[in-house]
Amino acid sequence: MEKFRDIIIIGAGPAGLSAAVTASAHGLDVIVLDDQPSVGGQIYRNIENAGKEKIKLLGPDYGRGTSLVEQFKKSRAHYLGNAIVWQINAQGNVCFSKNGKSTEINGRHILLATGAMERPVPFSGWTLPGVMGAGAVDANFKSSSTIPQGPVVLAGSGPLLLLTAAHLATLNVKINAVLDTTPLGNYRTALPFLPRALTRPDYLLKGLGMLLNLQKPGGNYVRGVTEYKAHGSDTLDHVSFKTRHKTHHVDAGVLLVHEGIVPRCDFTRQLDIKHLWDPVQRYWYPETNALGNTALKTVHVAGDGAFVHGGVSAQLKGTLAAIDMAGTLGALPGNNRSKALENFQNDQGVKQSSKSGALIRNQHVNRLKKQLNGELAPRPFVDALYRPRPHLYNMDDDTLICRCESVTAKDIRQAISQGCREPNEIKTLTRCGMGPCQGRMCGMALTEIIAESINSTPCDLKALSIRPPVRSISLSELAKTDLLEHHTQ
Amino acid sequence: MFKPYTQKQGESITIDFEGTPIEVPAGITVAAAVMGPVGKDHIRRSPVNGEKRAPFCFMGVCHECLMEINGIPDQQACIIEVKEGMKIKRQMNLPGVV
Repeated sequence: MEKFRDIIIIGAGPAGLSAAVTASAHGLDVIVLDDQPSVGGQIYRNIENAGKEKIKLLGPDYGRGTSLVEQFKKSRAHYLGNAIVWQINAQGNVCFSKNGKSTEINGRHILLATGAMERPVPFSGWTLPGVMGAGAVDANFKSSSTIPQGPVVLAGSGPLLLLTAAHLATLNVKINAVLDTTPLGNYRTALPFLPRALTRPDYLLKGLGMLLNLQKPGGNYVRGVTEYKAHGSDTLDHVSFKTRHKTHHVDAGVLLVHEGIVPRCDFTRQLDIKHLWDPVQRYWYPETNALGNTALKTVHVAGDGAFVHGGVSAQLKGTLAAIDMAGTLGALPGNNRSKALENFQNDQGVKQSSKSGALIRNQHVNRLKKQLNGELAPRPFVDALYRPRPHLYNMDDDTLICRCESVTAKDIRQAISQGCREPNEIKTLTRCGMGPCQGRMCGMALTEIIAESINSTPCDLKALSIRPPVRSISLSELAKTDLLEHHTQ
Repeated sequence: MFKPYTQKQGESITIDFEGTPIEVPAGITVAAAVMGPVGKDHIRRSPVNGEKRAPFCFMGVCHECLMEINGIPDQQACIIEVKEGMKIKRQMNLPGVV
């Protein structure tokens, strides 16, 4: 395998794929590394093998991925699936594991397109088999065509909760209850953002349609839920939930939870890039410029990993980042590094003229930015409406925060009462964040618990340090890593 | 915990689940196979507190689906596709047992 590339893209979702298409059309040598078995990321997971029936069931938001994947397959970009990246540096060196063997390759530029994940929020009983992410089960259907069995309950807040409920209804899954924890006051506080959102009625109507569908008789939709818990001796048996100080119970074999979506910052953290705090959605995101470039000239971030804006925006952000990287690498449109470039310009509707490449590029960038701006119009409204509810992390003392190492909220609070304020210090003391998931499931909660205990916000605290190997590989594999020459000399 | 959405039979393959040959659809993940056609409600026990655990995120983040695949422990079953003859085992050791 060629070990030196112009661009290494990590992640084969909408941002990574569109960036690969654009960059390779600029004549650049691109490789996409992705940890999943097939391209598409989570939103377009397994779309290549989905077939018409599944695309019809999941709707146009899924089907949209077909043309992007086709463009990607037609492009000259290389692709490695089941390739798990575990280290990156600013010099463009990337280590990844595939089939139990690790390799180091180098890119003149790196694009992080690692997307987002469902916000992990610990609650009593969340480790019981049967409790899963709502988006998780939706994504699992895309690749396995299996649906959850047994009384199904959904709980939480956010567009993906509604979408999963809608998909399950289409798939004839009986839903015992949908427990919506969106605070009713949010409908009022989100109001100032509504006018801009109204410029995209398509988005709003879709959301409204999903909400109204849930509220039909027999939908078992409960709003104003303030808390939910999972119960069972060693697997899930039932769910309890509170509305206005009243506690209710509902049978459940499967509980699908969703508390919003947050960027995956593993690699931007590992690279020690500065992160900013979004006070509305309460998550960290890496600092980038409008084209996705970080403070490191060689590293861009695109897609939901830069800020959660959804799949269509991710694709636009990927294209923008690719154009910027191409510019840095001297592959401007018009310098004719390849025949593919002309095709690309024709595809994009860029008129061939005597104008300099840079001018054409700027026009293209401005058009994309305008398009992106249109896509972002409903986001402030949606983000405000579905902002995490107050005291989301005010869990009982016996709740497991760290699933891997079985560390409870009480263990963490004890460390705080002993004077600890730094998540990494508490990690050392309690092992919270030290297991195989490396703090991905507990890191946010750990910081939020500290913040709540000392009346602060996570933006005034540090986050867990992320060090390589960012994904777990065996020591023997690490030792046998096929390194580039500069290391072995 | 999961069942197939349709009864339509696509291509299938045979895996070895803890010594028993089981037919599963080709192209699905190991985690989906174990929680679906194999019919298990858990994939491992927590090596720390012994609790039963099952996949939570289905996308390679939570590491709750760690299984022994073809003799290699701690493989993420939710991002690995089933292959003909693949040997799959749950990791059921209780804390302190090696």
